[in-house]
Amino acid sequence: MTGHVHVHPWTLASPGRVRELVDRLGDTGRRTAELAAQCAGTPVAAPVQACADVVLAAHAAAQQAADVHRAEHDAVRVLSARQAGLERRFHRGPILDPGLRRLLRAELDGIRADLAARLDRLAAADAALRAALTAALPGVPDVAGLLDTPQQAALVAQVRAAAEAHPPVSAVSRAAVRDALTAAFPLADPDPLRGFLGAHPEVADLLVEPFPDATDPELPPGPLRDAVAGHHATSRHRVAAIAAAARDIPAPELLRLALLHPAVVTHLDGVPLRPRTAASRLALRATLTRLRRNDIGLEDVAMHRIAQAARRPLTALRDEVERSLVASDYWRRLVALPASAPDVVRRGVRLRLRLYLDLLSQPVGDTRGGFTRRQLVLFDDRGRGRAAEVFGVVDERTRHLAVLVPGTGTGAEGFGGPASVARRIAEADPDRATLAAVWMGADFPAAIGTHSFRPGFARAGGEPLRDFVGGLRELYPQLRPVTVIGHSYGSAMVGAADREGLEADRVLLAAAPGAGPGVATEDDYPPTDALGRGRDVRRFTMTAPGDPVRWSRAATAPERWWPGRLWRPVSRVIGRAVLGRDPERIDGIEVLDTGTYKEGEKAGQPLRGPLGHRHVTHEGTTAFDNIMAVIRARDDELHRAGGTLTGN
Amino acid sequence: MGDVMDYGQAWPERAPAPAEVARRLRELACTDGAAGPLLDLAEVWSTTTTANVLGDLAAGVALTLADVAAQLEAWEPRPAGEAS
Repeated sequence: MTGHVHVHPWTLASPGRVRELVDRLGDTGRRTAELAAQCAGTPVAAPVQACADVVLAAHAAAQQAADVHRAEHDAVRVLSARQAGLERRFHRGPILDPGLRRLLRAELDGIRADLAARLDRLAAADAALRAALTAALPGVPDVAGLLDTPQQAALVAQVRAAAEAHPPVSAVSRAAVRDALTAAFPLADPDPLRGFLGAHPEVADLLVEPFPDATDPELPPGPLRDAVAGHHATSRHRVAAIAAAARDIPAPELLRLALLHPAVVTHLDGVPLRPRTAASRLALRATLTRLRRNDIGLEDVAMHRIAQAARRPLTALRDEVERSLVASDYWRRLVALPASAPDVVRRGVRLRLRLYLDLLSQPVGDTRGGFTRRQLVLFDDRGRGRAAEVFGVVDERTRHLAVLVPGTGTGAEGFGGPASVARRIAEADPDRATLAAVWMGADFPAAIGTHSFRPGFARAGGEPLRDFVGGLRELYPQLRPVTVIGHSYGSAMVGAADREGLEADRVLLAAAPGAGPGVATEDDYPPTDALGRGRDVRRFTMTAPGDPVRWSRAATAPERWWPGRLWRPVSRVIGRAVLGRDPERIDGIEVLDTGTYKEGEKAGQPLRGPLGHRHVTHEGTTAFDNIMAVIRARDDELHRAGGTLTGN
Repeated sequence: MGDVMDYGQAWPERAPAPAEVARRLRELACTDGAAGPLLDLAEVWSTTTTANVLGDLAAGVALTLADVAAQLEAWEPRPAGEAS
């Protein structure tokens, strides 16, 4: 008698949710077809209609699959439960009554047959869906050169020939491509080059360096190359040199450099935002091409792994553990293992795809009543990813600069959450005077249980964060105050940057596990910045009552339980070894109150516990009001710990 | 982008302006549009191979729409009658 109950993965999905998604897919297909019809007679009508046809074909196939899913879902779950119950009954011991035994066995056999038939129907629907989607895939049109003039088509051919003359893709082939583009586009006006590269991602892809080598950047001789190559990669002096070089280079020439060297310029703190954003977008588009290629390539690996897992129980077990971990938000936050199961790796790829597609195309408000493309200023897909994005505009109304550093779990796959917090910061300023940035320019801990107690991430991120803020300060010296906000582990990273001479006027550590590695007192932050200039930093902190991060801080404050002179130096040693001392216990750091929710169903309730940890940066809370008051230097609007105090 | 009429025969007057078409294509290309439901279905219908094909379709359609939008954004008005 087997106790194992087979459950098709579809039975885990809610038919209601599936129906909603299928309806959304149909709606998108119809909107795409509608746009194609409106564009009838234009060169884009055919490819847009082809995309609509693919989406509508996918919708039709998904609808059929959803019908089977809905028909079988409830029955399979009920029958599976009944089968398990009967099998447990047989396992408990012999059924003495022969009549009852026959009856139950007949029922079990019937259920098994019924279940097998229903699971077969689900598997058949799954196979039919897969076949229909696979058949639809080639319908995605190739739009390369769709709107090219004959001259542009000739240039694309010339560029390709230049690259192919120096295989494989290398610094030499990239130089040949750059030469061809430089000859084709006039130096004085880089906009046609920008348009051309945006419209020809296959050409932009040929320009993207695999990694910007600081000692030998693929930049032409000149002040920018001298600035980049003349200093260590993480050096505030390099940022100053880059900013000075950028000021000396005429704007069109700088934009042209950014377009021809996207993967180098995206990393250069001190380069003005317009050329840096142009470089980052090209690097992003090229990454999307590669990501799709990798995704397809993983298919073979996945099939091989499934065959392997069937023969090797340990591989199968490990894959199953990974799948369970990624399926649960709770476990994903707590534990991070290096993913090896191909379907888990591909899930990560799809999450990145989701973010990157939005970064490429999603419009955002510009805080001036208009919309703009997302202003990605740093983009690099390596490792867990690097990104930084700016919200708002710099004009005569802009007065403040805020940089948000997120916490554990931040990576290319989780960038969307903190990015939306930064966007809300820019939008929440009633004067529309804040330029807000979100920074993820280093590796962040992946999970609370396995990574976030380690100070190495904070230490490694300190200098890059200092340089990012320094770069913005070089560009916009008129913006004051400059506030750097760390959330959760990001606070430790901000503390580490502060230790390196962060050029902030104000620092806010929200839900902080510590004040930064090596920080036991405010004197551990240097009085000067990395260029030797005096600093005057005002520091704030706030943490919700019951926030679990307080438990980790307890380790740095043993004098709490054992008062006495003996434990004070011990707590300092521990504070130095981990993420720094509890900022609420450091003299000179002002403690703010996280307060209550101001809207929604929790209105009036205090922020507390694990939710309070996450919601401390969410709009509609006293904590968020504090963030805005710190950024806008409205000290009379600060809510201080121990009561709502006003004034300083 | 200039006035719709500047595009001559390559862009009929009754069609929305190229910039407007590019904007709408961008909307369809991000995850609020075509890619989102396909990627979400890949999550809920998590059998490996089906999810992979859904993910691949999402990427293919969304990138194609985004690329058409990028080409429209870079498109120069051209004399009436010139082939595109």
